[in-house]
Amino acid sequence: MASRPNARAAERVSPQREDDARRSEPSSPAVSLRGVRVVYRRGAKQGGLVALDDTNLQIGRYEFVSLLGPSGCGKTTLLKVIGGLIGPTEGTVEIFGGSPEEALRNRMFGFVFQEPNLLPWRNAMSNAELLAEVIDRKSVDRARIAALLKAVGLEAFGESFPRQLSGGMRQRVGIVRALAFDPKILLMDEPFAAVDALTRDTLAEVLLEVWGGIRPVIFVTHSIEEAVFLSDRVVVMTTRPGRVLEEIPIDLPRPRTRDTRDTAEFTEIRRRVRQAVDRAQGNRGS
Amino acid sequence: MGELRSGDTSGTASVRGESAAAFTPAHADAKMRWLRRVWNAFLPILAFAVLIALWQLWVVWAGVPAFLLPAPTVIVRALIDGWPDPLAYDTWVTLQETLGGFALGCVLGFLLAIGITYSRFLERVLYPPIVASQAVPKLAIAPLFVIWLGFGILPKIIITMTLVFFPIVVTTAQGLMSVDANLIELLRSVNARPWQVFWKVRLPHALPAIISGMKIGITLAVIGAVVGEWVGAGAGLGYRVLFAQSQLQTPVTYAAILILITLGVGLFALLDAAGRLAAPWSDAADRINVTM
Ligand SMILES: Nc1ncnc2c1ncn2[C@@H]1O[C@H](COP(=O)(O)OP(=O)(O)O)[C@@H](O)[C@H]1O
Ligand SMILES: [Mg+2]
Repeated sequence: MASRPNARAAERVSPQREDDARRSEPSSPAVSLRGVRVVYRRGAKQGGLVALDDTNLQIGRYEFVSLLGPSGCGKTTLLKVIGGLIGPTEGTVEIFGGSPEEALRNRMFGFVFQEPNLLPWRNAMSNAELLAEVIDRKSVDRARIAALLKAVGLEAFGESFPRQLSGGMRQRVGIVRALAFDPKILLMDEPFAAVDALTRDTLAEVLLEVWGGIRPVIFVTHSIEEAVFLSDRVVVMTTRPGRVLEEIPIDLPRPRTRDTRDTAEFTEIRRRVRQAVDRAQGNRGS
Repeated sequence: MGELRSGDTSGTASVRGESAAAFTPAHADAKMRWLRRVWNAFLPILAFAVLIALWQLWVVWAGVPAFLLPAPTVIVRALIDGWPDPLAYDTWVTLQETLGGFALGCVLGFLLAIGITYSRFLERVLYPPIVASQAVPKLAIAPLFVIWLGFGILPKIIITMTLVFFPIVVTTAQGLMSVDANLIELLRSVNARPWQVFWKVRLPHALPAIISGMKIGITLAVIGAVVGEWVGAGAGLGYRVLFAQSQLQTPVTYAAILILITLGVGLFALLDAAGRLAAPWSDAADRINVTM
């Protein structure tokens, strides 16, 4: 993979580690799912609910991958299987060659959910520290967190409490909280679904800035535009039981900015992704 | 309203609220608001004073005998005459019973709530008898505690405890369990230990609910102490109410009741203030203005 244009932003918050990683195991994927099936148990009479079936997916070490698919197709389930929060009923999941449970124990995952769920009794800085503090309260990297807050445009709001922040600002704190302990993989479940459209575009740019191409991101979204703008690859899933229908590489150059959205290439790729999504929904369109 | 609630602001610029003055004539408004606040504080006092005055007038004008309904001035007289002996001592006894029972009730309620929160089994086993225990009339079973535990302070404390623990269990369990599932999941994703989830999230999240439960509990505690004294005691405000009544010293009865009310209201206010200090974020959105 070519060198990341955003690497400088990333270096401020994560020194050098990626170069070592790149050298040691250049080709093996960060995440690998083979034949994954997830069945939720329901009432005894109804039998199981198949949320995911025969799902195969490989995600590279520096790759930004978006999952697109209709509601209820198992995107959240897929994210939780990767993050070791749910065990697959069948199939194998590997995270850097190990099991997801092992990866979870080693604090490899940074999760961001749709609702930032900040603690109202902690200010922004302290909220951003929460997960790092849970991992090891003595080695919380405050300088890193301060740098991240600055990178997402909240340097003046470290002392502010959640109720004093807008929805978009709260979600930025949520992103900083997930990156605070320098996780190996970022898992995001519709993180911008609850913020307004204008803020959403800005948050996408902020996310690319702090991501910097140094770790894989798996990003669930309903927005085709957002998926295309952010990703190296868009994975389109079918309706339940979910499986991977199509994988569309997005070879738009980086860094991507506001203007990227207006280019002809962007429009063309967006059209292709939209067609794939239509196919996933059984040609109903949307 | 000229106040801008902080939760409503969505842009970066308006968070600091400098612009608030632009649409609020601040000085004229401040004076009005101050007057309104004084009026709001004054109104209940005024209403209370009117009520007392009417009481006094009616008793004097109609010549109601003191053993039926003493005039407020007579009650105050009885209060002064009975202080410190025996009313101060009674107050001290009742206060001990109230606080002792309240403390035990809080501990019991808190432990039960934790059990219920962390174990479905305990929830199913404990909830029915806990709820049933509240349907039992306390006055009816109070004599049993006296038989088991004697005439000292202990049965009063236990009776008080049985009243106090219930609101604590309900509010604490509700508070501990109402944490957003995604937040718990987020902590689980970094392999948080259960005790970390408890101390960092569940307990502070439940604090406003716990404080509400304690505020209900403290008023029940005063009632519990009085009930405990009624089935067998030699001192205390509840005992004094009954004893003075049997002697037709109705003014003393009223004086004791007055102290009981003051005790209940005072303890409640104390907890209310402590609660605001301990959990300033609860309902803070309504109290904190961006306008400075
Ligand atoms: N804990 C659960 N128990 C039972 N069914 C579930 C559970 N979580 C999700 N499901 C079901 O699995 C399907 C996939 O859910 P989800 O992964 O949340 O989809 P998505 O995130 O794509 O909207 C849905 O039909 C949902 O109702
Ligand atoms: Mg979902």
